[in-house]
Amino acid sequence: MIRIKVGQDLLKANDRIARSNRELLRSRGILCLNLISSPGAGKTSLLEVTCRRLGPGVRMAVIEGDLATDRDAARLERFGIPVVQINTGTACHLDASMVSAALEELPLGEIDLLAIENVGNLICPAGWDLGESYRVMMLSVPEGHDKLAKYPLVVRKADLLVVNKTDLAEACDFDWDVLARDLEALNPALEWIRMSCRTEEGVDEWIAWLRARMDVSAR
Amino acid sequence: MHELALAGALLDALRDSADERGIRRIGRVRVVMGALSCADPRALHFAFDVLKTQDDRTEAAQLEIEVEPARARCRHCRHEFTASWWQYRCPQCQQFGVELEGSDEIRLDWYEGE
Repeated sequence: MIRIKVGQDLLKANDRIARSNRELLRSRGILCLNLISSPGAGKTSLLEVTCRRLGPGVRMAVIEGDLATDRDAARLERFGIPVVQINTGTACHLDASMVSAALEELPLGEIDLLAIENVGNLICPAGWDLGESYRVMMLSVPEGHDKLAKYPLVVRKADLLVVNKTDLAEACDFDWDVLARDLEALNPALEWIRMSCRTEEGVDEWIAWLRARMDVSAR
Repeated sequence: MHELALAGALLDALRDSADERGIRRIGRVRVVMGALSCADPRALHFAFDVLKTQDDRTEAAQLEIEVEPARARCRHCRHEFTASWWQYRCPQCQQFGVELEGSDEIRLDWYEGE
């Protein structure tokens, strides 16, 4: 037996495809978001409110990742936007090759904003670059104020945190101070928005965040 | 489930290297996993043992996983220490606000073959 030194990062193959996805999207001036949250935090609701508020002036498209069903895709198709559904079967996250295949089905010349709704999971998606411009982490108030401390990797890798369902904060005894303290400890530079997709609190701030980044992508 | 994808990537990397070097049988396989990688060594062992039997070259491979601690530094007193997992409080000044560096990668370090 001989010992063979390899030193290869096991995510390298994924990262290579992610880079080519990123270059393709950048060349078309498309802003791409990778939305990561637990199941039920409100990713699809966020996309619905985003479609409504951006209106027809911004051409949006969505890649939906779910273990099973096309229910989220059906909710978004009502807005008349292109939606590609990826059913991952047993896989707990999307990877760059799945996104690369989905990109081939989208009319890239007619898209300004592409949202990738990852599989509802706060663990595995954090490790896989898809080629997105920004990672948006969502957390919802009923999940509890300890969620950030419990899932630190995704907090560290996120570019924006959206805390949804703020209208339920009182009923859930949600402690904003715990959230702020954990955020300070884990990723003090992370911007965050308090939001309720139901009452539309914080939606203006979210739309402004998006528009500022879309202006840069389109250049 | 995440570890299943990692085990698949590990076996792909082993097979690519074995092809390149004309290796027909693989023995010990050393993987270094950062303490912050969020992958579970036991689950990776299990997935590896299930998938390795699909190829004669990897059938008898034995996986060894070394968990590499993270480098940590306090943002307040600049104390440097190693963290085995996510640590939020500096052991020296007891304040919150620890910067953790690297240690989220998983790499195939070396393997033995003939």
